[in-house]
Amino acid sequence: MSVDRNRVAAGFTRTQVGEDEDGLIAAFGIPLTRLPADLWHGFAARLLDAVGGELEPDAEELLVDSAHESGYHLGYGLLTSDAWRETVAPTLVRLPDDLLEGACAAFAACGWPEAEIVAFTPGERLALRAACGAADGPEGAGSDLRPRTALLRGLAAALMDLACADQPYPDGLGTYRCAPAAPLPDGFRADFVVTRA
Amino acid sequence: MTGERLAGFVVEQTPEVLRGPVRAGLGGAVLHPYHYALLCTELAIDTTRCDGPRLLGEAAEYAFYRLLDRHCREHGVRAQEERLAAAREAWRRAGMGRVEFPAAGPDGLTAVMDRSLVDVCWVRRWGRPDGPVNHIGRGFVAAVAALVSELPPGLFAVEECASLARGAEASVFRAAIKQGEPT
Repeated sequence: MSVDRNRVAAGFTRTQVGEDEDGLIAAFGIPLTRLPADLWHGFAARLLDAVGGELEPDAEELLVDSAHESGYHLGYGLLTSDAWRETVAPTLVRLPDDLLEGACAAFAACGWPEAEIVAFTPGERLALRAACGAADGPEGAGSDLRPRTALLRGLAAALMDLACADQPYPDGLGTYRCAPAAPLPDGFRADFVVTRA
Repeated sequence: MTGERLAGFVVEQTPEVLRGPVRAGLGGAVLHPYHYALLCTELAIDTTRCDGPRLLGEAAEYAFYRLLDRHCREHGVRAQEERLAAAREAWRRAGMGRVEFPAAGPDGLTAVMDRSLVDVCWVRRWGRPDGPVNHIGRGFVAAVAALVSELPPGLFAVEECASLARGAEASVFRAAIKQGEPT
């Protein structure tokens, strides 16, 4: 990989993102929110607890779908931003591998979880490993990682849609799907595998 | 200059309105496109068997309460007006729109949102809704009511009396102590 994650983070950290007088944030070509991560983990945790039983997997998949679509649109905004063109694009050597590495770093700069690429077969399969046990607050923390893995499953699939889908943005959404996360023995990290839907 | 028209007002991306680095003030916050707030709201509304809107509102209430309470403690913010100002700023910095509090006291408050991302984007994507959609806003108002009253979260009920998404000029929320809650 030729992508320097610290350089990517520095490039996006310099990107100016602020709200206008109406309290709206527009950057990377789309309206954005900058809500506490606690809010999203808290909602996911409450929802999964409340539905319970046989509906729980369905609820989790709907959370994944929301993160998938969100990650896809934000990812496109990041990959077409000035910060990307100036900081990351010149360092890309091997595509699409380096693009995925850079995208992971750019998402992390935006507050999304840090994800490490474990294996990648272009067009076919992506395996990511990410820490998902750390909580910024009490919401969604604890032994149940699913409120956090739902977000990462969506992100992982969105990365593959952006890097490898046959159809360009915005028609590539949903080309890939991330399987349920496989928690690692440390109880803190999990593996995510994306393949064609 | 690039801009995107959102049902009546323009979100513009200009150097003048882009203030602060991308991570500034993130403090455990995460950047999402508006889709995420919208899709989670839709998911909450569709989850009728366990009152999904309540779950989303509670998640917002507790998250904003923690954020605002920490801010007020760390900066010694005690006066009601200063607390309300911090809440206005937090909502604006979250990119959720503009809020004012024309009435506030220990037993509750009124919040008016004349710009609201969730309402505007909901109408843009799905048209006018039949019922309330700004459940994140409802939770935020409950958190502010608790903060101003110096009570823990979970004690205030919030009613949306008018809604931008349903055609009102502004969304209006009223927070009052829940019936039967000891204070």
